[in-house]
Amino acid sequence: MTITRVTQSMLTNQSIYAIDSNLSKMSADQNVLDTGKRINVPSDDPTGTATALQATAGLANQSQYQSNASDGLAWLTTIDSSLTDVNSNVTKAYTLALNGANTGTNTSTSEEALADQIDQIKAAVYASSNSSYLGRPVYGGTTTNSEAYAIAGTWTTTDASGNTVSTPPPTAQDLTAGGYDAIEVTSGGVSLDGGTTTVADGTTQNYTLNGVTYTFTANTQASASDLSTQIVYSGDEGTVNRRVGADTLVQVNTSGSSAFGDDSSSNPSIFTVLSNLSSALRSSDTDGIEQGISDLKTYMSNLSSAQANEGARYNQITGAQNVSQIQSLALTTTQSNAENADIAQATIALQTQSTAYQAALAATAKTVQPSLLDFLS
Amino acid sequence: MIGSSGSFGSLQIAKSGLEYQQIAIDTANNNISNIDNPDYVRRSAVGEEVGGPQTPVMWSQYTGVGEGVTTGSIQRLTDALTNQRVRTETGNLAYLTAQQSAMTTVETGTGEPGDNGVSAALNDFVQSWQTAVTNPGSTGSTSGPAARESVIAAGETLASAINTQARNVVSQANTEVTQASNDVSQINTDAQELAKLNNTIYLAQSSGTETSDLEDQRDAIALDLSKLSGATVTQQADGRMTASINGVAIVGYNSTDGDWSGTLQLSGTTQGTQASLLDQNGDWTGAGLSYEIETPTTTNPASNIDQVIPQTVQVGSTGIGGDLGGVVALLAPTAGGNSSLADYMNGLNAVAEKLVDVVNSVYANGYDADGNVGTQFFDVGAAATATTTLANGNTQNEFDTTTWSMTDDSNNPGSPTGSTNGQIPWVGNGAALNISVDSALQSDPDLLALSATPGSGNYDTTNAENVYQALQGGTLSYPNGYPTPQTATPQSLNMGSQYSALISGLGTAVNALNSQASNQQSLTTQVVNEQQQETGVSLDEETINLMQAERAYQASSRVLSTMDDVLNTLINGTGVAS
Repeated sequence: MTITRVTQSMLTNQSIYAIDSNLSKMSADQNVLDTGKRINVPSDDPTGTATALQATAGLANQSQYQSNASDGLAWLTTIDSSLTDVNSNVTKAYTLALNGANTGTNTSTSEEALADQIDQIKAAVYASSNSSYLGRPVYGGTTTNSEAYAIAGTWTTTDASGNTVSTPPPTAQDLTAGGYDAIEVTSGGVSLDGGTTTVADGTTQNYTLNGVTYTFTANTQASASDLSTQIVYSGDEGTVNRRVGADTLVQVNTSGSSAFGDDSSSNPSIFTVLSNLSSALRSSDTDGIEQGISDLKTYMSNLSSAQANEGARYNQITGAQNVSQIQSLALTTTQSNAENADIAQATIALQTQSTAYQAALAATAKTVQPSLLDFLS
Repeated sequence: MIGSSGSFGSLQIAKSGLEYQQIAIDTANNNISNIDNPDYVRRSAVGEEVGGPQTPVMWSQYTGVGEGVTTGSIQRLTDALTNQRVRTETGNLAYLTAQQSAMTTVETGTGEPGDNGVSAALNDFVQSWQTAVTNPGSTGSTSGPAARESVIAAGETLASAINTQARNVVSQANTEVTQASNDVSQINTDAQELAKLNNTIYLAQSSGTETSDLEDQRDAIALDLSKLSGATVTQQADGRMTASINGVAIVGYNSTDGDWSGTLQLSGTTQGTQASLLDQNGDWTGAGLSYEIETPTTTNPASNIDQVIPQTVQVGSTGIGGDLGGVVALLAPTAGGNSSLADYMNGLNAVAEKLVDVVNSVYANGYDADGNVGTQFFDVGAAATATTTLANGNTQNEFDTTTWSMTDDSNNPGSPTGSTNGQIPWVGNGAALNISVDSALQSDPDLLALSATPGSGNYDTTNAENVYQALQGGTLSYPNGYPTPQTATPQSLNMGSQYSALISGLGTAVNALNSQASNQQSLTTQVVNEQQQETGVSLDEETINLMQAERAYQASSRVLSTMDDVLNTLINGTGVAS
């Protein structure tokens, strides 16, 4: 466009346009400084916005992985300390059993004393087997019960007519179906249902399931150390996993069977082994004691591998925790680069814009004001 | 041979000079007075010399030197082509700014990137499933159902964040519809005014009346018409301005109807039917807003009597420019695009639908704290379409703030065809508007199906882990021995990416609009400057014109006094003995 005439309105329009655009750029620069963010609305940088959103989501994941890892480590620590206790108790039992095997030197009184110690050890292992973290038994799988192992009382099973039948005692699942959560030995007696239904010592509690009446006889003598007491698993085989990385899911529980055995020949249950050992000692049954020693060796080897397995998972989580921390750092950098303002740059941009704005104002003041009229007298 | 025009003739020449300079002063004065009037076109008094007859007459000859000056015309110093360009660019600018302002409002309303938007709520929701994995306790357990409640609360927050955003879009769309309605009525008023002024100016010019003021008015109206509708306004040979929107004439002239103007109205809004922008799924219908113009035809061929028959010509929904065009473009979905409100609403609905699909399809295969199968986590049941019956018998839905009512104008040569009404219902079953957490879940956290193991209640959290994985597009796993999922095929999709793609698309659209509008603003300013260069008033120039006219006036006066002296000498000085 060749400018042939310049009119007042042209100057005004041009000035307004220049001042407006300067002011709006200045306001954008100021907004960047006010919020400290380079991206205040998606249109500031659409791809940067996508990056920032992804980085934020990634950071939320990493922070969750880290808290999952802490939780997982707490589970494994609980397991580790209880397994260490079990290990030292079982080692003690092994020594006692070796003592008991020395038939030549032992009297019946000393064998009775050894058996009593074995019973105490069984009670201690039972206590360890019910270790819990935040109210959940660590060896109980995904059970909702508060204990992984329960002490079974004496069960009499009768049919509708009251005749004793050969139905096996109810399992933990049957108990749940019958409205009971667990059986617990307390000082006041034996309680069903986590303490809500207490069966007084020596009395019985009936309940009917599928036409079969079960009678539970409470017995204060039924403590973990009692020879006749059966300890039953009330947990399940579910696994408790913690996600500690995008592709890393770590099991943080140890199943009751791998920690305490399941009565199979290769994996004897420590409770059965100790019960049998105790009764063999009491009856001076040499073969029984030898069997007990052999079973204890098998169990100790199994326990070691369970502990090693737990230790390996602990390490896996610690490793994942480190990876997650590194990733968090990287993501924070990515997010910051995408979203946060470079303060120095923004300050200089604002200063430059402010100078341009003042120049536009000054130019307007100079051009709009004068006309020929100002110079005619 | 040159003859004299006579002494009194010289006085007449001086008089004509005085008169002309007076007009020149008045014109400059008027120009200066109107310096700030944006519609004003500067004028100039064009002087014409009064001479002898232009055609020599037989047996006669003109011997004068000239008979002075007369004001030939008051010229409006304007250029039709530049004006046309200004109208086009102003229309283009209005088209872009209408879209820019609406999309910017929606963009700001998303609150992204930030701590309060949908993406933050989505992150919290995703992570809440991990909280439930860590602590699946139910009512009565040691830790209570806190983590379950947090999953439900995070779900509610997410649903309400999506609802809020959807409502923002809908309320912006409602504003746009109101804007369209205002634009249409202003366009129709402008069209009528333009036709009237065409008529007035034509008649005035025929009788030789000065029409500069009327022409200024007409230019302003033509500009407004282009700004509102992107109409093409063309100056015809007879001086009339005709206008057409998207090729359909809205202001014109024909010998039967004279100067006529058509009426723009929304298509397909006949009595008793609803013009629906959203379909039953809450998605934008393909139609958008579409317009038609009623124009007269000249004759009725059947009766062969000159009779005005209104004829409706479809303008369509694309190709309209200006502010109305911007609004129409905002309300119409584009193919695979993300540039309009409709696109964004559809995109948001799609994200919400996917969210519901992913969460519910995985969730439905889980078991709650009592071992029962989970039903659904999110609910997008039929919306509460509270309807009101309007006076015209139509029903009006909730959020339906817009009622169309367009009536033909009786000043229009096209005879009125009655009023048209239409409502635009905004409530569909759109997922984004209606997503919520299942009401049964809201009241009982134990119903949250975290477990993937059937049977009695347990603290298995595989299903929660699966929902978490599914929301991130990960692989799902089920416990050994657990058969294929029973109720629904689990889906897995990274919802964060889905949503960030939507937001990034919106950002790109707004960014493009911002730069287009900014470029257009700069272009428009330049074109307006070009126009002002022609039509604007320059104080310096007018001052010089004033000085020139003043001096010329003084000189003409001087001629008068000189002639007076001459006559004085002639009358009083001759024949008197000294």
